[in-house]
Parts: sequence; C-alpha cells; structure tokens
Amino acid sequence: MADPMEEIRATFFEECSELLEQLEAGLLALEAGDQDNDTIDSVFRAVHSIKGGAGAFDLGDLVGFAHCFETVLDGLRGNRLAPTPDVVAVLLRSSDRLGDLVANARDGKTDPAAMPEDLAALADSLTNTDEQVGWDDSSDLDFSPVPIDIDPVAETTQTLAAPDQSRQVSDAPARVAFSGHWRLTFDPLPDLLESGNEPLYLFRALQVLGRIRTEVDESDLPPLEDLDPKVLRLVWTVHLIPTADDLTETEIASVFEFADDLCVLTITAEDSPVAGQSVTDRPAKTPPPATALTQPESLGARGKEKSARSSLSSTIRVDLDRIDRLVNLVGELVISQSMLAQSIGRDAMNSSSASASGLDELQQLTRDIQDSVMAIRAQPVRSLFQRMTRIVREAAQLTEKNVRMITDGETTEIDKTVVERLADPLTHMIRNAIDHGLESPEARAAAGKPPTGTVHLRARQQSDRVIIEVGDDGRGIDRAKVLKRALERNLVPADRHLDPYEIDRLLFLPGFSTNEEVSALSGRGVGMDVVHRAIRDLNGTIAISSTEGVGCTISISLPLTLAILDGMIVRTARQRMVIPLSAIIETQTVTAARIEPMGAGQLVVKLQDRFVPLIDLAEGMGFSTDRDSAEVDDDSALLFVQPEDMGPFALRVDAIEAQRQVVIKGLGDSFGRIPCVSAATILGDGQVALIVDPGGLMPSGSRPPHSDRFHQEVRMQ
Amino acid sequence: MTELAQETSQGSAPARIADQTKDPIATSAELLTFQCGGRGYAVDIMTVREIRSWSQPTPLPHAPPYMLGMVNLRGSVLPVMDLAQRLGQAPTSESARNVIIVIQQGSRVHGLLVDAVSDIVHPSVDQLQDVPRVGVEATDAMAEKLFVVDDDMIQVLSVDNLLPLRPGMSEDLPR
Repeated sequence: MADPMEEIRATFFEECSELLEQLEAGLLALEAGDQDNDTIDSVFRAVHSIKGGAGAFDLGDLVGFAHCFETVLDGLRGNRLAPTPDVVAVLLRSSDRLGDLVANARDGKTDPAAMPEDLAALADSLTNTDEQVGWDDSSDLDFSPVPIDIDPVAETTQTLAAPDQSRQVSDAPARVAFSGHWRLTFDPLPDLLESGNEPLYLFRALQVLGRIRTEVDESDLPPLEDLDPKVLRLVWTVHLIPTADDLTETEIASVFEFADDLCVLTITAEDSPVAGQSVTDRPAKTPPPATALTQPESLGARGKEKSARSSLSSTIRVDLDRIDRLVNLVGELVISQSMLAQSIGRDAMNSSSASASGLDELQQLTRDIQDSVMAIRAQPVRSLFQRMTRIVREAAQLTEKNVRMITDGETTEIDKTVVERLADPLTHMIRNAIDHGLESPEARAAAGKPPTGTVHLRARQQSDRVIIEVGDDGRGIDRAKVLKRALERNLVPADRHLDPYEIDRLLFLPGFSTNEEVSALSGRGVGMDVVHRAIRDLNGTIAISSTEGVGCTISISLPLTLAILDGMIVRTARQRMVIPLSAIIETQTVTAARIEPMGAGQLVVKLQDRFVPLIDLAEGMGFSTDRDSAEVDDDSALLFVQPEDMGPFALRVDAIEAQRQVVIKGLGDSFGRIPCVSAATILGDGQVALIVDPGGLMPSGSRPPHSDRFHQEVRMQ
Repeated sequence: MTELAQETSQGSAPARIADQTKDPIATSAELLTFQCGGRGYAVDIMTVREIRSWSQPTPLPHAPPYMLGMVNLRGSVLPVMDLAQRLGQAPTSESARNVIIVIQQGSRVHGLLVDAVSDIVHPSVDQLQDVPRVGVEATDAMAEKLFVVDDDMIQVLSVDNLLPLRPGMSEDLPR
C-alpha cells in the first residue's frame, strides 16, 4: 500500500497548483482594475489555503512566505493598502515566488533565498503603521494551541479585546458615523475543530471588519471529567461594529465560509446604536436565541450561500486513468456497434425493420457518447495562458523591456495532454518574441512605436484543429541576417534563391540562432527546432509570418485531441496498417509511377523533379511478402512520406483501403519501443492495426547528408 | 470468456510482487493449471486477469517467433505470446479449445496462448517441490516449483521470468 501521507501530500500539491492559478487570475484581475471585494477575497483565500496546508505538512519556508503574503493581502482587504499598480506588481512577483516555493516543497528542496524585499517591506509598512494587525505577526506562525481557561468568557474577550483597544482610536470617526451593528450567533457543530477550524481565528478575521465584542454561552459544557477537548460545546454571540458602514451580510458570512457546513450561523442587523460604554462593559450573560427561532433564518442564509457557491465551482477531480478507461470502453462500443451494423447488413435484413431503425438510434447514441467522452479530456487553454503571463513578466524583467501581454480565446478547449505538452514550446516562443522580437524602449521610440511592446497570445478553434498564435509588434525577422547566417553555416547552397517564407523557415533548423550575443534568455542551447519538434510530436504544424519592422507571428495548428489521428489505411502482406496522413506528401499508383532500379536490388522512384528511394512496406516492417516485386497489381500504390530529419521516400503497399480518423491505442508498458511502429489502433472489425512510424523504416545508412535538411525543412509546411 | 480473477488493486500489487521474489508459493498456493504442448503447467492465480478465446493476432514487426502479435482486449491492445514456443517447444497447433490466459505483472499485461485450461488447484506448501536444476538454459528458469497431480508433473511458472526481460520484444534476450 502506498503511504497514505504521500497521497495526501500529492493531493495538497495538486490543490496548490489550482490555488496558484486562482491567485494569479485574481491578481491579474486586480491589475486590470477589477478591485472589488470578491476578487481580493479570492486572492486572500488562495494564499490562506496554501498556508494552511503547508503548515500541516510542516513546510516552514512556505508557511513563512505565505504568511507574509497574507499579511499584505489582508492590508488590501482591510483597505489599509491601496491596490496601486506598484503594489499589484509586487503581489504578482510574490505569487510567482510562492509558486517556486510550492514547487521546491514538492520536490523536497529547500530554498535558501530569503523573503523578497519588496513584499517584506510592504508587510512591514502595514504592521508598523497599523497596530491592530499586531496579532497577525510572526508570533502567530507556530500555530500554538490556545490554552483554555476555566472561564471561557474572560479568555475570549481578553484575547480579542487587547488589539481592539488600539483600533478604537484610529477608527473613531467611522464608528461615530455608523448607527447600527451586527449581531452574530455562532453555534459550532461538534466536529468544527476536527475539520481544522478554530473559532478564535474566525473572530480575528471578523475583527478586520470592525470592532467586535463576544459573549460565550458555556451552558452546554459537560462536567470536566466528561469533556472531550476535540468537541466544541460553546456558543458565541458576537456584536460587530463595522469599520465601513456599507458592510453587507454576505461579507460577514464569507468569514465563516470554511466553517459553513460546520456551524449554525445567524447574522442580524441591529439598528439600535450601541454606545461605546456598553461595548466595553462586560456583557451580561444572555442565553443564545432559542433554536426554534434561529433555525429557519440560519437555513435560509446557508441555503443562499450554498447556491452561490455551487455556481462558482461545478467541477470534480477525476483520475486520468479512469477517463482513459472510459475512452477505451467507448472505443470498443463504437467498434461493436459497427460490427453489429455490418452483420445486420450482411444478413440482408429489411432496412425498415425494427432492428435496423433501432441500430440507427444506437449509432446516433454512440456517436454522442464518443463526442462527450472526448470532451471530458478537453480543457480550456486558460491555465496555460496564465502561466505564460508569468513568463512574460520574467522575460520583460530580464531583458529590461516594457512588455504588455494580450491574451485572446482563453476558453478554447484542447486535450489535456496537448495543453501540458504545449507549455514548453510556448514558453520558448514567448521568450523568443520578447528577447529577439521586441526592441528596447529607446529603439521603439526611435521607430515611432509606443515604448511598451505587445505580445499577443491567441487561441481559436478552426474545424477540428486548434490554432494558437504567438505574435509580437517588434522588429520582425531580419531576413538578410538569417540568410547570411544560413550561408555561413552551409545550410543553404550559395547560388540558390530563397523566397521570404523559405528564409523564415530556416529558423527551424537545428542550432540556428541569429542572436550575436548570448543574452540572459537565449543561449540555452534550445532553438526553434526544439519547438518545431515538440509541435510535430503533437501532430501539429507551425507557420511563421513576419513583416520587417512591424512584427512577427508564429502560429501553431494542432489536432483537438491526441487520441485521434488522421490516417491512411493500407494493406500489405495481408496486414492492414495505418500511415499518419501528416507524414504523407503524395500518392501515386505503381502503374503510373516511374520506378528505376539502382544498385543491387534497390529501386528509386521519381517524385516531381528528383528520384527518391523506394521501400516495400512489408519488407521494411520485417514481414515476409509472397509477392514478386516485378509483378504489378492495379491496386498497388506508392505513398511518398517524409519523416523527421529525412528526405522523402516512397513506400510500396498492396492497396490503399481508406482514409479515416483512427483512435490511437498506446502500446504502453507491455511493449517497448518498436522502431517502425508508433502505436496501434483497432479497426471497425475489431482487428488491431499498427500505426506505422515512417521514420523507423529507413535504414540509418540511407539518411541524406546534413546539408540536405534544408530541402525537407523548407518543403515541410 | 471467463473472468477468473479481478485485476489486483493498484496499491497492493507492488507489495505482493515484492513478496513473490522471496517465496511466491508460500504466500499464495492457489494455482491455475493448463495444458501446453502436451504438458501440464500452472501459474499463480493472482496474476491471472482473465481467460479469453483465441482470436487472430496482428503480428508485430521484428518480434521474436514466440511473440504472436496483438489482439484487441476490449479496446486496449494486448500482446500475445505462444507459451509453447516461449518454453522452447514446437509452436502451438490451432484448435478450437485454444485459449489466451491474460496475465498481469505490475503494469504489464500479457496474453499467453495455451492448448486448454484444466483446473484451479490448492496444493499445500509441502506438495510443492523445488525444481531440479538440469541445465543452464533460460527456459529452465521459467519453472520455479513442481508438483504432482494424478501422477502428472505440473510446472509452476514464474510470471516474472515468462515476460520478456525488457518490454520491447525486439530487444529481448539473444536466443
């Protein structure tokens, strides 16, 4: 059995990444000017939850940092700190830092780097100027248990009253202006403590909203010998005099959000002015309002909150394995459905019979199920784009350029695996756009452009593909420089004329870089060729469009899901196989093709204006073929394919059967790497068919020389 | 198709495999016996996921002869070995009684083509004899215990040794 603690830890880190996303989204909304309380609260809650979890796992670095972060956010919440652009910038940097710390904690690394100075400075300024957050300083960090006095009333009022006194002074004007107060009864259910909630902290959170006075009803307390310290038997009545006179019930209720299911809470507005005198007076012990009275009220309030919350989050977390299993089963359902259709057709049943029309319905249903199942794996690109805003900030800082990032189409959905595997290529493209594309503010001003450069990140769906574009309004590709570099490296024949688009594609050649000096960002040994390869691995294509002086846009076109491949189903040596359509550049019939012998038993075939090698697919796959290669069957065909890092070559097959989408079945752990096979699929009749990787078919000796790469790369579009 | 054993739960599988390397039979002496090339064999029933009827596999390129190919196992792809050939005997002849025993070891799932399934037996630990070491050939190591039923010798096969050393049949042991 796996360590249960490890599982909980893993869940925590999973939650952290969601919370970090939420945090970043909130901060970006703040930056964009959306400064309402909900946004600030969501940001605060994200940090608070991370801190809470980190505390449970004893992650000191994380707790310390999150705590400091929380202090600053709390300042925002209490209107003691204005969300100016400078402050938000610090917060954004801190959220990046928090992400780093979470990653470190997950990998078990400790980070010696101290608290970022800007955040610490903000936190200090808050704690220094504003004494009432004194309770929230580092002494609170160790989550030490609060000793329970025999007289709980004294204990609670005392702890809470102390910081109150200082506040009374600073808040005096607000208090005078307000003539009402809120009365809360807070009746925790017995398992409140078990769930990690602590009334004291809730009251402290209330304190941020205004002055509070608490009364406790301990009438339900059992004799000391029967007391279970884990079960809370106290009921509190809290009088809250808000600092701001527009405090709403929802805002108060939000303090108790985490304890929502664990307590009975009533919030009532009391218009009668509460004199300063009565607040400081030791409260007369009032019994809590009768349950019969409070119950309907509290249910109403909680019901309202419930519905508000359900509209916020209606997702569940599901193990990917389960979804994969579902995808497999649906694939099987589709296959049995088509087998059934075939056999009904074979038995020549009346097409208007009940079974035939039932089959039609079944077909419709399976198609709908298949679509819905595929949609489960789909994910909006929002999280990916959010991650990129961080890359932009970092890159802008490193290159000392002013960059504005504009994202578009964040709700476009794409397979989860594709989203994950896009992160690296996109990161690289964005760094490139900022480092190579955008000019320095001075150069931009000289060129008559606004000093702040813009990077666009757009996603949109186009039929069954997703287009993702990274664009900048920088200087564009300097084609003369690219060509010069390519000539220096012998990547292009000197006498050859290249069209502008061909020059642009030179950027995808391995090791190609136009940057003269290694900057902070480039010179990592990663070039656009890596991006190119990553996109190709996702069955995608990549294109550049650039206008000198105006900007450059790189667009990626990807299939919606990795689970489906456009393929050509071919037959050879009595086997059916699938060749990915993306690898095929042309097909010819054997009868029409010009095939010439060359060397011992080797054949070449004419493709446009050159001759390329011809390989029999069955032989290439190591299957015996009983066909005489001189014999020409009318069905025999040639597929011209062009795998990665190789020139085109032709594959001879016995027949081309169909062109269709196939569901990719990974060969998994039970198989190792088989050089010429990338995966398998299951055809309509239930038979397994191999998906051929043409790159594995050519013996390595027949690979073309390096300089010839230019041809393939430029041709590949 | 008979479901004999449910897939073992992910969590407990590694622990059980670890036990197996020490003394597999002592911890579990429930065995599935079957016929293959005219002889009796058995495997630990906990490794058996299901037994299914024979269907024509799709061959794999550059695979050793005992690797028959892949069949469709309810939407996923299952590699199938000819057990007789894997044990160094003549290939299994086609027959309607031929079945594929689906075995699972960790995350690896393989199908074994055998002549026919016989029984489920519970030999006591002292009925299980050690395998006499008669040679150094790799096929000897496939059996880890022996026992006798009605005067017939039954070899208890080690699923660990049965599966190719590395996944990827093209890189298997030179034979």
